[in-house]
Amino acid sequence: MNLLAVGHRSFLALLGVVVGTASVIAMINIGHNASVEGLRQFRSLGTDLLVVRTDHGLNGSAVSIRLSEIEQLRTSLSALIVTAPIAVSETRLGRSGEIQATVVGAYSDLQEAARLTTTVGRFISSLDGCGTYAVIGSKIAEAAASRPHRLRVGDLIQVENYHFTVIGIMKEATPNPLLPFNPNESMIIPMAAMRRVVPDVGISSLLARVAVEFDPMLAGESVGHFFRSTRRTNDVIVQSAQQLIEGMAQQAHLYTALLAGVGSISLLVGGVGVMNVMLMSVAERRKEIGLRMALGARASHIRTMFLIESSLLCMTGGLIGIVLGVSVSYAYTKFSGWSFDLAVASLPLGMLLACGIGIFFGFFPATRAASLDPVLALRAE
Amino acid sequence: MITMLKISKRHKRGGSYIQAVTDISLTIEKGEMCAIVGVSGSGKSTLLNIAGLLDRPTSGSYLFNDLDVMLATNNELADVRNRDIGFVFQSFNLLPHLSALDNAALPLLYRGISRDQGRALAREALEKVELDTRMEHLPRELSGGQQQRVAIARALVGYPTVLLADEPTGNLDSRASQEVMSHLENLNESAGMTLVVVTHDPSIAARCHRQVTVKDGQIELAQQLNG
Repeated sequence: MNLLAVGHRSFLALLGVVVGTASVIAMINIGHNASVEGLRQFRSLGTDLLVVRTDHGLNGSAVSIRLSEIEQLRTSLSALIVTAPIAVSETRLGRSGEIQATVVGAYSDLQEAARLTTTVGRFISSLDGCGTYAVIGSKIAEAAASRPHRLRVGDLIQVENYHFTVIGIMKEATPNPLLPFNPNESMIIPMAAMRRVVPDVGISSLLARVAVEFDPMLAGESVGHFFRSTRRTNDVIVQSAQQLIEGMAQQAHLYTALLAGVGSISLLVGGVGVMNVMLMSVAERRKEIGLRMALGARASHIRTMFLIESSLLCMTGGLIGIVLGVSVSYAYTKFSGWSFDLAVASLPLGMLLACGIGIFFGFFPATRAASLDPVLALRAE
Repeated sequence: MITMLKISKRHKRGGSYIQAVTDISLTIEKGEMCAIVGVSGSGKSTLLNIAGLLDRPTSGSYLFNDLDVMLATNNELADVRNRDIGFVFQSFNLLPHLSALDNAALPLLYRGISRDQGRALAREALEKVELDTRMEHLPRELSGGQQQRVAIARALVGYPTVLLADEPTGNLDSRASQEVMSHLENLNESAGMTLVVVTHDPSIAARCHRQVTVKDGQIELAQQLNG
């Protein structure tokens, strides 16, 4: 095409369109993947989950929640269907303490609250009392296995000076930042047993599920209000899945807005560049335009010819931009540890935008070309 | 076929007007070979541009075949140029990035004819000017005379009723000039093509049936030579 002759000028205009299109495509795909990811975590844990955590006290010491407060909470707030208190501590497992793990002291209601399932064996129950029974997370089961055997129910696992009997192994769970522990890297033991192993740790968290007919955000506020008024301190934080998802969505929206800004500016600059290239092309080809008119080209023919050229230039830029944009969003999602889901609608949209830029910014030069006087044009240079 | 009555044309230059042509009346019949002679700046090129519907007169009347040029729209003029008029320019005006074949086929593009059909017709036109062996060559690979013959083929490709040539031999050596003029004469004699040739060269003008002299924007003499 004639534009190849214009060379590096076209390339610069092309670059603007490429970056602009890439930004728009990346923005849409990242936003899409962010919400898909949010939905995934959403589904795995549910929006009805509330997590109450203790913050550190004013003097930096660990703070705990008393069982009596939890009882009071249960009776006063009917919105909560499960309230599972837990005590969390980091420790080392194994004969020589080779496995890093989280020990979680809990009651049987943790299973429902955190939606944990066992692949073999069972979860802790109220009948376990203070027995040294443990439910092991999937990664710990792998690490603690004495090769070539897999860890089995009934095997012993050493924690501090105690030997715990494995009563169940948990299914691999999607890690969720809302949970105060990673189930895959945890060992769950009865709360009473916890007091034996880690005597000075108290209830550090409470997992609660909100009944279907209640708004989790409002329920969360009520829980927060409850703790603030009974403890008269601000050392308890309530988080909800919804908060988390909204936080993620906000972050995604921020990125989206940023990229939209860059993308729009870049597309605009690209469009101006295209217009510039086309204007120069028209100026250089005045004689050709005059000749075509002499041979019978109508003004509309000339205009269409230049519009097609600017559109083709932008379509090329759009195509490259789409590939670039998808690559960037793919890299971003992989880096964030998500799986990539292509926002299919973004592809034709990106192409449409690029073509639109080509037609919009090519219109003025094309009209200029079409309105040239053939006699004067033929006399050009 | 070309009937001009009291045609005047003035151009706007800067803030004032320059009269290019004043009250010219000229009739060219079908099959004529007419030369328009004059010095540079006499208005002969303006006259040719008006004749070729590239420019509109400021006043007067002009009938091209059945078309009233003063009343026609720009699109109508473009269509008539495409169908009925062939142009040959002094500097050939071929598109440098197209082959001889595609250059010759160019007018057909604006007639809605398919590319293949257009190329077939262009091939025929190039045969008429004995250039069918160099169809795929680019203009820069052709001599001046050959380029002008491609331009003639282009002018002929749509079977126009009149050929307008503005100093067709101006950029050619004497041998190429002879070839080109022979081709043009041949077209006039065998195909009955109406020919209007603008030239400042008296020897070129002498080859035409009729010679019209333009001086200071007006017709001086309307000579008839060689019946």
